[in-house]
Amino acid sequence: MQDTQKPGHLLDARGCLCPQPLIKTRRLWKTLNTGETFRVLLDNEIAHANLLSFLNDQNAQPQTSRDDDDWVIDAVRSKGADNASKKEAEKSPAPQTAQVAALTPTESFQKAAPDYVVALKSDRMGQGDDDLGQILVKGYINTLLELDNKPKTIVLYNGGVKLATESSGADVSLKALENSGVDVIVCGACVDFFEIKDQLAAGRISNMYDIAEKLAAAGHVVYP
Amino acid sequence: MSTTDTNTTDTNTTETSSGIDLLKTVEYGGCSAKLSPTELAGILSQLNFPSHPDLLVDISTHDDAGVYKINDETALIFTTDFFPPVCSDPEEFGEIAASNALSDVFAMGGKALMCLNLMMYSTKDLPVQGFAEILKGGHAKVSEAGALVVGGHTIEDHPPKFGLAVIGTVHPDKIVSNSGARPGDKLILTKPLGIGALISGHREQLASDEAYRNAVEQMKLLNRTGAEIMCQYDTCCATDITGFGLLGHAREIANGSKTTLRINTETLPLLDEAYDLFDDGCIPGAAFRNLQYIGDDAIFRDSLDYNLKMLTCDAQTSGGLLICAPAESANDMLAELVASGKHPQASIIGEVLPRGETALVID
Repeated sequence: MQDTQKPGHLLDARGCLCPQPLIKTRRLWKTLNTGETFRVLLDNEIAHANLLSFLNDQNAQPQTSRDDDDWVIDAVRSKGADNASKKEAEKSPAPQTAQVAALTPTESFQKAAPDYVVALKSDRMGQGDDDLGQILVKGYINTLLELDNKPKTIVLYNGGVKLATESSGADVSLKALENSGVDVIVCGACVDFFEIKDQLAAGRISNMYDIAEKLAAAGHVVYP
Repeated sequence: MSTTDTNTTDTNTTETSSGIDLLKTVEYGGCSAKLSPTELAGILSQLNFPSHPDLLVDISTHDDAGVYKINDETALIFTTDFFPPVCSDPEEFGEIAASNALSDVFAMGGKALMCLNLMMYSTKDLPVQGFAEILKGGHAKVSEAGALVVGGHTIEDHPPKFGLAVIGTVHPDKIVSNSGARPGDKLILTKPLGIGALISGHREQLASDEAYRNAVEQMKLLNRTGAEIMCQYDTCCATDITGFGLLGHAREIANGSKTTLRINTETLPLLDEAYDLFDDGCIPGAAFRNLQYIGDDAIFRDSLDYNLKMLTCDAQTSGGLLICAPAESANDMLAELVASGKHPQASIIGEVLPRGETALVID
């Protein structure tokens, strides 16, 4: 956890009608890394209650204080079980976001969304020599990090989930990709199968529904 | 108080649209506090509702309508609903409000007979043409439902409100109530969820026109065909999904029937863009109120997707039927609903279980 005394990001949602405070908060949320703190200012009780409900659901440890007539919520960007919260990079900017966007500089992240998914189905790349394959796949993931045109989602399944474990050689790059906004999805059933849940160092665990949905919605899928 | 005869307008209303935007008359932005279901339940609990041997269905099981037995062949269904504009076009508002008010009769397996218009409209604030267009839309739906408008009442008020009081009939032995669910029944939902999401998304200018139009068409769609199909398969338990959202109405079935309803969120039919709107934070306050109202009566799966969770609480206007279909005929019923052309998104969304710890289990 980072320093919680001084929030990393400030969102002033005073004067905004529902559901705009929540829209602004979710947009900010999607730009934050796990553990980052933020503060939201509100001037409406219902908006405050709804935002609190959302943040509690995300295990964001919201703390409320009053400042005259305003509500001040301090919270932490959690990893949590919110599958949806990590859809950030995949979603094209909603139409006419200008109306509610750009309240703080932290929200000005909107950019053209990438449109491809990388599916890693084993911990090797290509066939011929397994040792070579393991080296290649790490090289591939490290290279992805350097690309301007990064994938919106990386899906790891079957042996591919091992790439997300500590000291796999690809874990650091996967984490960095995740921090840059790429949705890194690790197949939950596969993690259980290999019994490596406690070794995971990157990505978020999800189910086949989510994976199938991401693959189906992709502009195209890359199988390196 | 004088009664305005509103039964003669359908013959000579103007054909052209008035260009009135009804949404401009409603308070913008959803921060306003409304009477919550929790508060309503508290108020109702202070009232004594009389019982009567011929009163077959009353408020005690949280059905939205009363059913009164006239003789061994016929029982009357009596219900009403009305609300302020949910769309811009007056005629469409009339259609939606009427479809919504008629829905209770269909959800109980009944046939709609007669309706009274309930109208609040201020001709000081809006052109009289809008009044006529609302009624025109309402009449069209009542007519499509096979019923008659026999009159109504109007008072001066702004913003407008419109709805119907409806009388229908049902055979006393064939009432579809929310207390007849049996373990093993499959849950069929006939219309996609997300009406609240699209109405809010439209206001925030975050929803595409196409997706919003689709939501409006769903609201205008009568539950008549869906109800006729469900009755062909000896359904004895169903309800329509409206303001309390899927979970609020599913809980009424669970408690009314002393069962537990398990809902599989992965199979929920959703309106286009509803999920993305919720993911963007465009979640109407009503969904939070409904979630709060459900309280501890639902167990949500640990890793349940937040947006899907909130969509189960999304308030619906003129939503679909939630049918407890006998297990052996559920697939046939679903196939027929889809084949009717009215309910292409109908889906089996869960099942009825013996009563467990909670009314609802959300997977």
